Amino acid sequence: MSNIISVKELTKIFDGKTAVDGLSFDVPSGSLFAFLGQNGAGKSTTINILLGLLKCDGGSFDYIGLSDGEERKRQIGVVFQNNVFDDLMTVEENLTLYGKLYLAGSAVKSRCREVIEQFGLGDFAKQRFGSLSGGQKRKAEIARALFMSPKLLFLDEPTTGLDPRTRAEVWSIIHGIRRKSGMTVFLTTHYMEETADADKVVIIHKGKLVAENSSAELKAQYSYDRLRIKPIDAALLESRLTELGAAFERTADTYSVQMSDTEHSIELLYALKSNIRSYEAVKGSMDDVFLNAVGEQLQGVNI
Amino acid sequence: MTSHITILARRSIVLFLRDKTAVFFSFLSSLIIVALYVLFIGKTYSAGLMEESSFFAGNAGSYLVYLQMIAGVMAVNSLSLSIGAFSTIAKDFETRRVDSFLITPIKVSRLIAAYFFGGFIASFVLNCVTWIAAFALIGGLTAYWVTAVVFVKVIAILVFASFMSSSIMLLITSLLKSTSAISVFMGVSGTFIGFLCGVYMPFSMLGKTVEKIGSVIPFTHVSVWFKRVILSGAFEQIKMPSPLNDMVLDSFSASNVGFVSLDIPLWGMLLYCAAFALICLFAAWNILRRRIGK
Repeated sequence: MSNIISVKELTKIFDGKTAVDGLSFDVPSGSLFAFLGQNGAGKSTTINILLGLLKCDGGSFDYIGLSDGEERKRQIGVVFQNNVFDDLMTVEENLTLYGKLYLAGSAVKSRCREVIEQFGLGDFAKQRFGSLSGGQKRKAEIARALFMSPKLLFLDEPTTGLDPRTRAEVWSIIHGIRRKSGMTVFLTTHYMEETADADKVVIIHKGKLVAENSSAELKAQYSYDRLRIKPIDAALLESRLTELGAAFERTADTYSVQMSDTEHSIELLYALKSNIRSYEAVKGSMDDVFLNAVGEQLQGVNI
Repeated sequence: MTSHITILARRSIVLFLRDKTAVFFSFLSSLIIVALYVLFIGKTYSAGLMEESSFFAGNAGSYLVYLQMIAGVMAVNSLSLSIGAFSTIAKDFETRRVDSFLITPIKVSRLIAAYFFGGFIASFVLNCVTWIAAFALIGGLTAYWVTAVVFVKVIAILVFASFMSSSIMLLITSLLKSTSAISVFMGVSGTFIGFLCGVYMPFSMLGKTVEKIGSVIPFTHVSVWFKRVILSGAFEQIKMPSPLNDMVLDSFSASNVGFVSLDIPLWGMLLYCAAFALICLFAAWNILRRRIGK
């Protein structure tokens, strides 16, 4: 797969403090690319540099297969963390305004109609943006970012504060467009489950890259499946687990035991069967990946 | 593309006009002036004029008092309306709307030009509306109607006043980082400048020090210009004896005040105002470019 963005040794320093520290990564063309990090890790700074909103102090980045200069701006869409539409204007007025910054008069009107229909904004297109619900606002913002059918879409925490149903709706729209157009999505989010389908995940910490791979590979490397067991006799379970050499953690009346594979799980359950009140198998998640990848860095700093 | 400037300038105007609170607070200083005139300043002025000559008894005196009041109102209006319209800039910075424009093909210079023209046009148009309303109201109350020549001259001065105040206020806005700071400035500056420029009370009552401070502020000279143009037409209309001219101009703070202690003619002071405005505009332009370009 060819790359659409290639970042090399990117560095940004604010008042002597390094926000982005020699960051290098590639964004494959047509991929869902997840860019993760804690608050203050340097995600927004990196995105702002890539969007041309900030100048970098070192390193470089290239857009591959996109036009140069002003023309490139037509090929990139951005959904910002906060809403940028004006509260005192209607959705249609807002869309038209942004459309006019790209297209001439008559083309704007027809594209506006298309976008309103495509994103199901018709019911509230004539309403002032400030009067809409959080979900409606986000949908309108995504419609703005996709107004020019970009080849590359930046999503900066697009679903923060939305209810699960609206989040699902927003993702359904984005995945639908990706399937049709092959658009690349550059995503930052705090909802790790949204990155489970990512083709590539980059995790940064204090401006440095700490992990980079597909979500499946990262899961294999940084997360593990567990058995959560509620025993009949807690003391007996603890002694049996110690006897079997299984590492465990206790939370209230439940024991969490790390599993290497399915066979191991079955063997353990069989060995403990007479002392199990209930159990569940928990798959390793992107939350584990993030916490373990960043956690390793934190430990490294402490040592 | 010029159309980018037009599109975003129109946006600034629409947002300002739809924000009823912002419009109200932009007019607040002027409303205070009108309220004070209705309550006591107008009567004090009228009584003062009648003490000087019985010629001012009746509508003639009221006509002059109202006209000089509206001249002050328009000077203060041009200030508060432009900064009110510029509050969009602070909001755009606070909410990252500026970034959302910068990712489109618009250039930074056009974005700043759009902000400036938005404030300038909003200030000019609303000031024209104020002038038209004042024309009708003063005519209705006194049965004296401002002549067409004076009416048009005032519109021309409003172009200058709006340009000057927009330039100065763009600089102030570029220095203020939040909408709340702009609101506070908007609330205080109109009234404060109104006093310093001799709009509320004549310089003869405020003293020489205030007059000298006021002479540094461009709005003082614009206010004097408004008053001289409006009153000179009115003097002819009411057929006022010419020996009373200087007395009326003095008592209405309509005499040229020069620059601090220097006796400079009004046209010289208006050149000073234009230069002051251009310097402010240049400084604002550079500050905003730096803030946007980071």
